[in-house]
Amino acid sequence: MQLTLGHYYHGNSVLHRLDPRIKIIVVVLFMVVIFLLNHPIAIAAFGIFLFVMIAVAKVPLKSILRSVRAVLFIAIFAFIVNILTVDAGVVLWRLGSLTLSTGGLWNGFKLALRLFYLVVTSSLFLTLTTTPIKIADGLEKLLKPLERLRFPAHELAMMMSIALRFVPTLVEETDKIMKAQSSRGANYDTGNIFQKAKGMVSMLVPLFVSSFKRADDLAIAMEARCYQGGTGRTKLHPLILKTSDTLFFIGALVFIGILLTAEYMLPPLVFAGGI
Amino acid sequence: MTTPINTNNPKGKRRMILDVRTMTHIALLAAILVVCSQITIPFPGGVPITLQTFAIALIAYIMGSYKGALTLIIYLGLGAIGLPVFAGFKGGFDTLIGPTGGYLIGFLPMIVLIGWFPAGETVKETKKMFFIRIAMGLVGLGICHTAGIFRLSAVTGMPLAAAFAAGSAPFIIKDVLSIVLAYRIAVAVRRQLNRATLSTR
Repeated sequence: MQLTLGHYYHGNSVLHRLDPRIKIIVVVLFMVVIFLLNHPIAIAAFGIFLFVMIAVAKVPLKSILRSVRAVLFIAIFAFIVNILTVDAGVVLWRLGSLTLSTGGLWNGFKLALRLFYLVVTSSLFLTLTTTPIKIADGLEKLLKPLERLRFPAHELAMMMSIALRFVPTLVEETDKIMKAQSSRGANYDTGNIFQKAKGMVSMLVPLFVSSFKRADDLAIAMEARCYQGGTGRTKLHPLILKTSDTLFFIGALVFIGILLTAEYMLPPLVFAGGI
Repeated sequence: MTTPINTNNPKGKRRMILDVRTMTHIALLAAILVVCSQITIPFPGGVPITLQTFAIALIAYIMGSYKGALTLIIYLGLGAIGLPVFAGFKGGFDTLIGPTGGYLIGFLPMIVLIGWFPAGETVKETKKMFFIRIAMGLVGLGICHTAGIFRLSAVTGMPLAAAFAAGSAPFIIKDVLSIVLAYRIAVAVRRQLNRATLSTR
């Protein structure tokens, strides 16, 4: 896995080609919607939508499951806590203050599913199908209006790309420093945790010193080239909204409208116990 | 530092919010944070732990609130755009807004509190300052965990006690230890950096 690409899965599907700004806005909207959904039919509809989108993106199920696995423990924990504490609908089993009811089961299932939807939506639309550079570009563009309020949108994006560029350099540097210090008798592997920590000082000091030097050099180089911040800068790959982006956005809004209508118009199902 | 006049840009009246030197320093510090939080130490018991909390506390103790907070924002930003920079090679927008995202956001008040009294400013670390700094670190850690627990409970619908058991209890000893160790190391590193007469602030 390449650190600078993250979990990005290379491809050329419709989802890959969408404008990152649209994807970010849609993901944020879906996040809110996921927390509003309670009706079983609406929740099922969202699940089907996600499966369709996975098929459209042509992303292997394995990479989707990896993001699900990250929240699996918490989802199971939440499921168990919910089925034991929520008391609604038909009670199936009772032991002291613990009850097992259809309402509780549904509630636990719903919350676990919500967690999965949350991570699958954002990893499917952003992490897996958009390169970090594109997301950063999109974020910068979206936050641009805030610059009137002195919010440093361009500066943040610039710092992020500098950091991104220097991570591999520093990894290599750290490795070199550790080898150099080891050859001079530094010990990173033995002793208790306090001794190990002491050993890290001999690695951290050169790392900080060389990083500050690099930062100074870079600042001089940037100033020598008249770096002035974001004003007047042009981009190699400017973000331009295409018809397909607009269509996708309208489609997403219509879908959200349908989901919310289903949520508030459909009669509640009995087994859910009104939750 | 003199600000050069931009002749190409007639609208270039906007002054930069951060100067270039601060920007490059913060960027490099964020890169250090990324590298450090990927180092794992095999803990007694065989479970490898990542140094995320340790690295964040270390940057705060060395750099102070302002630079520390900016560094953390860049670090969280790198995670948000999908780089696997968080503990255990996690990353992506979903990690930040997901159930455990509260802990990551909670690092921000923690880093501000820790950096309030950056280490190694005076030549001699008095015992009183030692206790103040450790106390600030622990209060910050407390806020970080509280934010994490509330977020976890809100996303999963668990009661707060259950959220504590799932999200905080397994890590709390490690985190307290991280704060103390970060302080000890920060003092040593700071002293060496001062000796190297580097402008770090």
